[in-house]
Amino acid sequence: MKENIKEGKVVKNKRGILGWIYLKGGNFERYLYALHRITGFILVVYITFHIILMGSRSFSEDAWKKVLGFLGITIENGVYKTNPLVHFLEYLLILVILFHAFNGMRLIFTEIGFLIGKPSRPEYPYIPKSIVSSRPFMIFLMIIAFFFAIIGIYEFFLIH
Amino acid sequence: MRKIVFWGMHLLAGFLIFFFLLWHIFYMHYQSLTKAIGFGTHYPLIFSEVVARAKTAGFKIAYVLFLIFVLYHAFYGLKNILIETEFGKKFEIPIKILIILFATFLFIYGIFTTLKIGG
Amino acid sequence: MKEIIFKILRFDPEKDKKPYFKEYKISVKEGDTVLDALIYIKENIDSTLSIRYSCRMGICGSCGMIINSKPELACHTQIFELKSNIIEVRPMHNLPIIKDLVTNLSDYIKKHRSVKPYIIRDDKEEMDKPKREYAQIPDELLKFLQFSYCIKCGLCITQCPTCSAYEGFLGPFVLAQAYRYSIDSRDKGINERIKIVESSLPNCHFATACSSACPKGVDPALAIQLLKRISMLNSLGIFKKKISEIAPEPSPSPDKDKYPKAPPPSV
Repeated sequence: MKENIKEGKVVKNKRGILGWIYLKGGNFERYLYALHRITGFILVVYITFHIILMGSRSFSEDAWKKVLGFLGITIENGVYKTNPLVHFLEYLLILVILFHAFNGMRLIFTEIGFLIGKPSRPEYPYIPKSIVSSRPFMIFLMIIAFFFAIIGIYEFFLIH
Repeated sequence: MRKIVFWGMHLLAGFLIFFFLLWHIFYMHYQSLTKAIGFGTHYPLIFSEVVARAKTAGFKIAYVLFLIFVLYHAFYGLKNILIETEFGKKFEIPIKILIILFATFLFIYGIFTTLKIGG
Repeated sequence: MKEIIFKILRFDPEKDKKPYFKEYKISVKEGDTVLDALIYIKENIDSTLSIRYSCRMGICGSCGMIINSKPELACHTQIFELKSNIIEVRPMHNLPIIKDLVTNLSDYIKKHRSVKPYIIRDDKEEMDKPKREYAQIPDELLKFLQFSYCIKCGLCITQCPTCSAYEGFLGPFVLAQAYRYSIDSRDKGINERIKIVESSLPNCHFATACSSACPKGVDPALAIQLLKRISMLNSLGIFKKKISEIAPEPSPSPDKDKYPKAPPPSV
């Protein structure tokens, strides 16, 4: 047995990156973690393009108009006209930002040790205090984020 | 600097970005909400408005700070994602160097465009 | 009595190229645990099945397995409570398989040893030849008691998303034990431990999967977030903790002469 372990014949059995996303029978916060990671990655990619493209405003008005045109936004008579697909994608981006921001706020408080309960004597059934104590704050933030998402629907699709 | 202090700055940057970013989104996209607060109708993407905004000292300072916090928070997070993979331990130092270089490039470009337009 | 099919993941590194599932049909009665079924299979049907178990009452932490996609201790899991006619048993995720259901925890045991999971004080004479206990009040005990119930079964490692890909992460139970000793009022070794643990702390992202998997209610996620807090305070130089001193010698009773003498021993 010892030789087997030393020579590395043992199956590594690691779940790899799939272990970040998929967990059968996992708890709710585990899925929030997976979504936080995915939204974070999307935002890093978006921010690089955003900084580079929006930087065109310092070159000339023509460069600015070209960039806006490339993004599907044209200005006619002082009013915007956005390509409907781009408009929808903008709303999706707002949802991504709302999720990452409000979940991040929950993580900031809990990772410093606030709102996750105090150590105590464990009693059967062992319901983890850190999960149960952080749920009210999570629900409060979810309600505010949902409220902004609903205003976004009104703003993006019912007015324009 | 100890490793845990970098993590603490990541959290602090995240906390400050929360307020900056929500304000930025409301100003740019949630026109009816800003109208309700009392800002009046504005068209933030028209070039003349962009220039007028960029000349204000308040906006310049705010945008530079916003840029620093966002780049630090985003690329610290990206570093975490890339290093926590199966190959992360082997390539830890090259990944960190590449990320620092790319973030510095974006920072210099961002500062240049923010300050140049104002003159 | 009921007929249940057990689908067990088998793998013999000397014979097989990769793991495969094998089915066994046995009859079980109410009150039987998964461990009872596995021992029955080993004794009566297939003696080549390898399982690790010891106390059969949920205190040693040897029989951790993934039962129907959930991390459980085999001796702690009633078959009838699973409410299923097919029970899938596989070894713990993220740990190398030695054979069948036996996994290799030695990597994590080494990591556990490296965080110095013992009381550290600077008085060597007292450590080698202790005179008396350290005085600790119940409030100080409650700060770490929950985390001392850890049985090192490794079920938290199976669920941790960072452990599933990154080898440099110490693991949930190791960090929880580092906190258990650092916050103990009898311990003076917090600076040494934080130096070792610091590089792993930013890799925990509060997914709380470890706490929901723990069979003993240890809640390692809580310990790790509190460890982050004290490590941050320590790096800013503002962490304070009351250190327990040796309990005073019990004073002799003033009424000693008034008590009647004990009768002479009869044995």
